Amino acid sequence: MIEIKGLTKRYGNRKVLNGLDLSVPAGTFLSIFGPNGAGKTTLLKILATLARPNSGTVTVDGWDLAKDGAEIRSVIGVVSHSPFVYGELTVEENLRFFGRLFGLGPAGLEARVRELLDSLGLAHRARDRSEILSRGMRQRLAIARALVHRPRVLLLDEPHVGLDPKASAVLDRTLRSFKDGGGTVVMITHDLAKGLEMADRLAFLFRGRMAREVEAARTDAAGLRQMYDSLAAGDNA
Amino acid sequence: MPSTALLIAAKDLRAEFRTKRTLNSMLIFSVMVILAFRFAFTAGDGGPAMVAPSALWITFILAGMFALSASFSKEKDQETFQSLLLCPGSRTSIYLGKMLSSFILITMVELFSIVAMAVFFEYDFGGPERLAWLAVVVVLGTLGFVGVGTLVAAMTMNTQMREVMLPVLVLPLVVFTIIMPAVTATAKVLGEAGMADVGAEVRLLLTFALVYIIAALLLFDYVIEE
Ligand SMILES: Nc1ncnc2c1ncn2[C@@H]1O[C@H](COP(=O)(O)OP(=O)(O)OP(=O)(O)O)[C@@H](O)[C@H]1O
Ligand SMILES: [Mg+2]
Repeated sequence: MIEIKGLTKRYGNRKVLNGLDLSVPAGTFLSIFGPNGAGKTTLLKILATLARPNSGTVTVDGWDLAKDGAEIRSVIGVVSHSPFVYGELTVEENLRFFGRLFGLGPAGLEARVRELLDSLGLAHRARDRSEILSRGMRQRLAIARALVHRPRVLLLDEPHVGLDPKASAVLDRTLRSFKDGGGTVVMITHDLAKGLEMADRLAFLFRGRMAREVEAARTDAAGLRQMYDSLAAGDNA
Repeated sequence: MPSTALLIAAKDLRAEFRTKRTLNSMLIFSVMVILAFRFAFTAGDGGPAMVAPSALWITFILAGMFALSASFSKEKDQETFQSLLLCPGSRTSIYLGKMLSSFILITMVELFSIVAMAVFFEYDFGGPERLAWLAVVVVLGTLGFVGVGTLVAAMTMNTQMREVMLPVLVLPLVVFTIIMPAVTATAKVLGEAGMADVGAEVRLLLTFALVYIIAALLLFDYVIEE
């Protein structure tokens, strides 16, 4: 589903990604861990076609990132630190706007918007401007926005940050049903337990490359903590 | 015009009319500029007829900067520009959508300014023929201005002091290509001795509108890349 080979990204003189390789088969839930500044968000931005790599090849769902950006954008959904929604527009107007940008027709769109509002617990706020929503509610809207066009791949950058336990559970449930529907998920998180709980595969990004990858089934919370700490110790040396 | 561009323009206008923040700033600013011109010049300077064309275009261009700047700074401040970049389809649709919404806002303010001018200057804009030509000049001049201004606004969106950078970069680009021919044409259309031929100026305005828009379509992808 996602194939990355030799990915390099420089900002000025700083090499943020340094020959990164990664393969994420379709239907996989991958959690990526790594210290601040390791290049996780940069990797996600490149996958989302928001930043251009300096070298390396990336394919998503068979499409080549270098020339098929529009096709890739139509199969991915992105949740980032900021909700990417318009404060002056209501919750449902935001969803309609993004749905239509992704080519949903009027009939399918209304049904899809209702469905997302219900499943994310936003129905009672549908007519509120999104700028008056609480942070957690806005994050739910961001998740709905990322899902509106039924993407096949979800790219998530610390999606649980700022969510209360209930909203966090709503997100988990949404992600599980996305995965059950055959979707592929790449989630960046600093929460080792959460990353382990949700994922099939775990990857550690240190200094611009994948330092290690493991099957989630082959480790537990303590093992994961140990892995992370030993990589981090090597990182500082 | 691709449907993505229309969707973006409609979204911009819907959001703007809900708060009217930019529109109100533009309208207040226009009245101030027109009043300043009204009282800064007296009959001895040749009167309103001499000043009106320049006053109009200075109002249009300066008030227009508000629309161009807000069009991108609102997206930047809410980080929604990323979500536009995430949409499939060509990114030049974003340019066209932004251009269209700014064009509509600016044209509304221009209409208002022309009426305000007629009132404060007790100015007679003449019959339908003059008004029609005035409309042609205003539309073409605005198109060129918005065409280049939207590109520059996208470029300066990520810079510090973007509110200053925008006019500093746009004004030199439009002084000779748009403001001068537009002022000349407006003066000819409104001339007291009757209307003179404005074919040359209209052709110039049309040419630069096309040149700016085509150049912007070619460059837009590069100026927004990270
Ligand atoms: N637009 C940019 N211009 C210059 N440098 C950048 C830019 N974006 C990121 N960087 C640099 O790239 C490096 C990696 O940043 P990135 O945001 O990918 O880290 P991260 O792994 O997501 O960290 P965190 O856990 O703190 O979110 C950092 O050193 C950062 O300063
Ligand atoms: Mg990050």
